[in-house]
Amino acid sequence: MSKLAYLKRIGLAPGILLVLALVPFTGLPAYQFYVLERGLQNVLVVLSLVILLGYTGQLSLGQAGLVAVGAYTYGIVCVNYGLSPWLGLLLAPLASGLVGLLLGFPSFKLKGPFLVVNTLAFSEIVRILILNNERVTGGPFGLNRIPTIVSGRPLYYFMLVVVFLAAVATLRLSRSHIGLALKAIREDEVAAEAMGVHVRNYKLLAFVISSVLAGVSGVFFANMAGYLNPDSFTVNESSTYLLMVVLGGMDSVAGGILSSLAVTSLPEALRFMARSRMLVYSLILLLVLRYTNVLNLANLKRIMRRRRPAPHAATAEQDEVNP
Amino acid sequence: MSLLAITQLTKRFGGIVAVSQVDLNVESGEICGLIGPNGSGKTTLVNVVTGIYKPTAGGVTFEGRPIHGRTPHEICVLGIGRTFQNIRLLLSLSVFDNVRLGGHIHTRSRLWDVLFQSGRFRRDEKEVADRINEVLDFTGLRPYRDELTRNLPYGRRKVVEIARALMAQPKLLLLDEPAAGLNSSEKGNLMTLLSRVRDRGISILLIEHEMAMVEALSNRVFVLNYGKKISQGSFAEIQRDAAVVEAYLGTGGAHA
Amino acid sequence: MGFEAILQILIQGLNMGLIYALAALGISLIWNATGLFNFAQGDLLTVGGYVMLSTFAHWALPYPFAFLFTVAGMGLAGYLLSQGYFYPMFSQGLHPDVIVIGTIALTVLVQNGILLLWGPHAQRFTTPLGDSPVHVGHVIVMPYYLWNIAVVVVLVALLQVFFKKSILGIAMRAVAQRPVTASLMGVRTDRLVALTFLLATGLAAVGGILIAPVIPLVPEMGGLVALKAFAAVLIGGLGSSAGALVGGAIVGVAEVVFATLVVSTYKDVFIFAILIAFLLVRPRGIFSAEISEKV
Repeated sequence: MSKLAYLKRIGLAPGILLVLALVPFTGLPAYQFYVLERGLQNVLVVLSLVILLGYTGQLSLGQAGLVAVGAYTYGIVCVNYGLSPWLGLLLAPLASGLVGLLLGFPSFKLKGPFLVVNTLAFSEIVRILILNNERVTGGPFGLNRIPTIVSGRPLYYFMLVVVFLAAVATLRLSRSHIGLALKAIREDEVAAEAMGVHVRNYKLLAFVISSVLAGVSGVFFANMAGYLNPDSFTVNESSTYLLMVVLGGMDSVAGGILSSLAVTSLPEALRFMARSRMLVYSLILLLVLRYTNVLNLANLKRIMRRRRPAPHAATAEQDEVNP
Repeated sequence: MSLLAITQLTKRFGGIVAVSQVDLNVESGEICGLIGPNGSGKTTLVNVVTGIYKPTAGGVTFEGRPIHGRTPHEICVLGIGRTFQNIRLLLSLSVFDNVRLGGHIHTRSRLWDVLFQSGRFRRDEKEVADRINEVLDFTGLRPYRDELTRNLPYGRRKVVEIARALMAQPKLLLLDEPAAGLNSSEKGNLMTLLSRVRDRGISILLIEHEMAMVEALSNRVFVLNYGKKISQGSFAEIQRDAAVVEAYLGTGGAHA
Repeated sequence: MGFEAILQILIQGLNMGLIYALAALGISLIWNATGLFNFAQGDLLTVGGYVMLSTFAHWALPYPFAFLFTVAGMGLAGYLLSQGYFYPMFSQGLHPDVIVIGTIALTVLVQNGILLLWGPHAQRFTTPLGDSPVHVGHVIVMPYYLWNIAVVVVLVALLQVFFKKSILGIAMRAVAQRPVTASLMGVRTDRLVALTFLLATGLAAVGGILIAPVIPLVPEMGGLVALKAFAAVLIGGLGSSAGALVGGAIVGVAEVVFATLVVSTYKDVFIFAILIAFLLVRPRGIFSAEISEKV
């Protein structure tokens, strides 16, 4: 494969992650670095939505609940049972994957607002259960003194490696027949089924994979914060994840990474606005959303592609169709 | 044993009877025409056969086994393929990807293979690519392989749908008005293509309004009106049938 | 269980339930006109409450005045929101998922706006009828219970008349059922959609005004009310006004029942479980909304 074609194939994602790998050497102040880390942690959830929404077309307001399952499983394993954080890292995605499967069962039959409300209801049930089981989860007082797998710089690089692997996995999924089946479900479920795609099972698969990713994100959240509180896993968080994935172009891995970092850092970048900071933040999100069909990664690529000579059209007819 | 046998099939939607006690069969190696005025239940019939609807009464067997009540993807696996009256392609994807979807049931790689790009995955991909190219060549779509389906003219999209259906290696192909919206040269190409499909051993049930095509291709023709079968036979026979003339032209004395 | 206990549960349940019903009505209205599910309805309701807080409690305008001012102001905001934000998104052909996420983005904006303008602390006001409970036998009735129920009943009756008898109402129903035909008949679809938003936000505002005596206003209230409103509209039947009322009543009463008779902390879990059960078995709701797909 030619060098250009290879670069095209791997996309922007590895490049972005490479840049991120170099950031610790730039002397970024500690707090800003923390924001960047949070952005990176959110990338995993955004990737989960790239798969669930971008590829499979299932709009979910429930990711925060799945992140919570991952985070609290990790926390409970480490704090309540005193087991190794590595075991927590292993069990958390299993738990969130299981809950995701549970969520998938009523969800696969639902579309549109019915689906969204269902996922929201699930997420809220998770949050309320966490809130009211003080003995296990610490309830409103939270789960404290959670041990980390590694901390400081190594944690950042560990997360970066995991994000890289997740991005590669998502891209491989996208290009495979499984990814194609999911995209077919998104665009035309009836046709997909007529072509032999077992729609129910593939939807469940999408739910499970995305839940596993969200669970891993939860583990990293627990590692970074050191303590957990159910207030961190509300519909506001789920909404923000959705905004991130849409602003990133819905089915773009690179776009998802960039928008996760951008949206996470936006409140920080607006710090100079003091009290009206969050209002301006949400206004910016609304506006970018409104014009998302103009400002997005796909258009950027298209503009860049126009610089090269247009591909030779097969017929005159096609020349008319292709501007 | 007929390849496809539809027995006393009835499909009701609430108060509306879309298909009423229809008997129809398709033998191996033949092309059967299914004609009738708009709204006579042809598409509904196909939707029941392919599992999108469950029959209200009656049955469908394929290669002797009952298939009514099965899900669409099971029926695809059994060997029935179809195209849609209003093209249902993935417009945002290329011709290659759309045709590739048709081959979904023959993929052997699992999620594990995809994520780790195992040997099985690589072999699968190569095989699939080869078969796609073969189908594209067969249908004359090779030059448009990497085109976005959204950029293709209507007539070509219809051929893409047929190519997609062929990828699944069906034994029976249900085509829902494949000639609608085609110009005369495209129609000619379609007739040739369908003959070659039949020569490959794939039987076809052809829903069409384009009578010249039905006449040229069909071994037998079934005629529906208001959900009921009103005639069957060779094209010449049904053409002379008074019931058929009446269905299309109404009573009033005009002849076909 | 005594008759009076049942009455108590019913009155308290209907009190909140009809507020949920108002939000549900707004959601159904917008859904019928545009196919969009407005996830911001709960937060719009909250804003209505806060605006009333300012006009009635802070600026001391007379209650009826403040009421009308709030509803009109919110209605205008809804009209502008439709013309300026949502209708352009429809006409540009943006993916429906994106537009839905637009309503979700709106919730974030509204909550941040409330936080900025009114602060994070709980605030409350009550109707001029006061807060002295009225005792009817053993049943405790807060004055605003009756006021809430009365307002909603009158409002819904007015709406019925509007939709069945007035030209505007009929035009709005025409747009809801056949947008293309309506626009071909010279109906300006964008204005009618904007009017639908106006009505829906107006209804939300009323809901906010009525809820403040019952539950103190907090910026996050939108989220809490929203899911109950969603439960109400889906259980009752998306797109149906009768459904909104019945669904709201069911959710409101169920809330009180679960809170008093079962474990109070999990009352919401039970309601959401009922919602999920409905979604599993009868997503169309009690008064079925039509969901069909032609193949």
